[in-house]
Amino acid sequence: MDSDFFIQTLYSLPGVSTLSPWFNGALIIDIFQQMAVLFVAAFLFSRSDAFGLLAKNSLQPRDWLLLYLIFFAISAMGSVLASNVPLTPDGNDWTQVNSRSIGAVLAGFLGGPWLGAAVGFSAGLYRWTLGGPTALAGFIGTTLTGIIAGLVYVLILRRNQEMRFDWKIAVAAACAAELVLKGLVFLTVQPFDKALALVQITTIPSLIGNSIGAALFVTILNDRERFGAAYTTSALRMAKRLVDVLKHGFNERAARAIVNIIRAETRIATVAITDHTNRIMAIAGTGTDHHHVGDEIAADLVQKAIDQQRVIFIDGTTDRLHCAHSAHCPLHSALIAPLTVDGNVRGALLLFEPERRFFPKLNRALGVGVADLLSEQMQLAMYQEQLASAEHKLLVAQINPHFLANALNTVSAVVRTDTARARELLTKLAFLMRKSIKHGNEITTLEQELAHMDAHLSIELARYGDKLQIEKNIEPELMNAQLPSFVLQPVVENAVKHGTSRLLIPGVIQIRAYQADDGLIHIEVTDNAGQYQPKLSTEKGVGMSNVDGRIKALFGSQYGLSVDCVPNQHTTVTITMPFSSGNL
Amino acid sequence: MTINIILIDDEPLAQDELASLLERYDDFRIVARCEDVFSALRKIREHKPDAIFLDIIMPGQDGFTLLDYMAPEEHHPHVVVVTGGESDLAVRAYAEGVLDYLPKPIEEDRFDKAIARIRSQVSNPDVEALPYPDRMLEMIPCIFNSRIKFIKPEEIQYVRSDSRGIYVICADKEYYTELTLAALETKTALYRCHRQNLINLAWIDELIPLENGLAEIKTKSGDKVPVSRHYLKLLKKRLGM
Repeated sequence: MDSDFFIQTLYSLPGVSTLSPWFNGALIIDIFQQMAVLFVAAFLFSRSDAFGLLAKNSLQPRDWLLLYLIFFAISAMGSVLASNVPLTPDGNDWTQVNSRSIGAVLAGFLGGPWLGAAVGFSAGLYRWTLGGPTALAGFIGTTLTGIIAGLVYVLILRRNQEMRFDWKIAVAAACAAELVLKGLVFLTVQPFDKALALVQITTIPSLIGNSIGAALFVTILNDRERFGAAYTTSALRMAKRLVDVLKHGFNERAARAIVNIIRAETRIATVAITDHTNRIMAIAGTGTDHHHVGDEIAADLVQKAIDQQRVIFIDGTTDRLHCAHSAHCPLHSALIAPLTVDGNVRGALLLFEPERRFFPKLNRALGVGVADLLSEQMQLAMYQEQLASAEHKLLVAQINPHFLANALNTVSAVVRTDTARARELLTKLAFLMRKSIKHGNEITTLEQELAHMDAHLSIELARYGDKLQIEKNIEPELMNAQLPSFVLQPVVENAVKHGTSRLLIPGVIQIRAYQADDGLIHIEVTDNAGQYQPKLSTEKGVGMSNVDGRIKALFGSQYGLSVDCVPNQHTTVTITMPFSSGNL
Repeated sequence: MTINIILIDDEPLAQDELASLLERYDDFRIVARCEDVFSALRKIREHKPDAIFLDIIMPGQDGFTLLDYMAPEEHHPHVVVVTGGESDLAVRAYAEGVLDYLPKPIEEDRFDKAIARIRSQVSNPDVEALPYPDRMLEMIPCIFNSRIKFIKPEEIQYVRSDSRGIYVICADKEYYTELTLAALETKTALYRCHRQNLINLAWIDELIPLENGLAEIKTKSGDKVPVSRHYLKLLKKRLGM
């Protein structure tokens, strides 16, 4: 074949610019058509499960095979879809402007050198079978581009995973691959004029098409990744906040915090939590003008969800919510999930959307997930409560063995000289033992607590003789005040053990109980030692925090124990609680 | 042969109980009763008893620290630990080199055995009390306003002994302690500079030579501490002069 004729034909192709042989409009349009197909492929790929493989750390052979087939298909599609540009009248000699190298570049770029090489080699081989003067250049070039993109992956991307979806790097890699391909044309096509003509005609369209294709492909993937990441981050943040709230138990305050968190993180129109009587514990969002805390809401549906222990969804179109309180209630679709602990219903989580708003499938899944999370956390909190109560029983059921040994030692000394007193001490000790065996997490009166304390102190007084003085000042009208059992005796025991018993001078313990101006009861135990050092004594810490915890559990977190210590002067432990003389 | 005993327990009735138990033995004599570690230190020096009955959980300091506070060359009585504390104290007690360990309330049989042990140890003049632990002190117990104040050895400028007792002098205050100069010298880094003084080398500002081979130390807060001829040589050597 005459090479002049060949070149002539090439330059006279339709679309070749009269200004320069480098610009060929027809070929550029042709490659854009291929790109359109590529976008569809990218989109489908980004929605498929195979996309997730790219984020995995270790892949199975079948995962590799799947990725190989996908990228090979993209690459081969480039060869198939490309129009052949005839270079001779009989059409036996032709070239292509195609997006074949994109498949190989992306394979190497996203999957590493092995995937890049494999896809490049097979796509190149396929191109070779199609023939034409650039068949050899196409074969070698496509293989090389896969490997080069793979090397880019090894050198840069493996350490900076987020750059994998950076379109600039993708464009650079695609352009580099295309230039390698064109360089190879010079090496494999003779004579030089023919090669130059081929390169001139195909370079610009190839560069434009392939770089835009690569950029758009990774951008589509990036969006999917970013969307997924943002959604996951938000869900995780919400889960963490919910768990934090439930650490302090499930009550109205927690419910209020929960609905606000869910609304802030999901932008669901209205979020509500009902208790086991189907009354609203907390609600936030639209419709709160006629839905109030304490009311019922969607009562029949909540009951149905609770009875059947399943999630109920009302989509708002085939099925509509009917508000019992207002004809103009905007809330039409709802998701109702029961909250159960140990199979017992504790309430329900309700998510609502208004009439014109789509209830996203994602939020439905999220709502079910959140309800599960809440149920599990409530269960956990219940177990912790049981554990704490068991620990408490164990703790208070133990008479301090050191105290017991010394008490018995005291009795054995007293019995030699004063049997009546020894007998009295033994009855006090027996009283203490009985108390510690009997009780649970009971509620008692201040009078009872003082009796318990006195029994303990009578033994301490016998032990320390004139080295210990007790001063009591109790307002008599407080004797019926209710409080948890076993709160006073541990405080007084501490005052001796960690306070006065460390003094070289006589110890004084003052016990005061009075009603302050704010109506609260203050019970103060003061020693003149000033030795309270919380960090140094974990044993003491457990006992005191147990007392504190039980007062808070009964009366609320604003009450409890406080300690005021002036080193070497005095330590005052104060129990603050409301005055309730009725049965709690 | 009479065996002299000191009882150390912060509970008066616990002392009475020990006294009652000891009444049965004609050769045992109680020479003193103490309610804390510090008065015990004093009484042991005063009476040099053959043995002590020592409670462990006592005000300020547990009974074991008594052993720490005694200088090696001081009189060391045999120790019988008596405690209502946990039984793991027994393990520690034997590790500290005590003769016996009696849990409260005390069984008479065990008490008899402890008495027999004391007798056999005391009657054999070759046997000395087991060596007490040889540890450096991290805190020096001092008495201040009827309370125990602990001073770190590095805060002490110097120590003075006079007719009233031993005083540790810090930058701002001085404190009385029951520990002897010998105990402080062997159990802290304080250095002997005079028969009646110890000095903290880190607090020396100036060493001023005087006549007759004597010297004087000026401390960093301006106090003056005498240095005797004998200790000046050693001190200079210690300071690399």
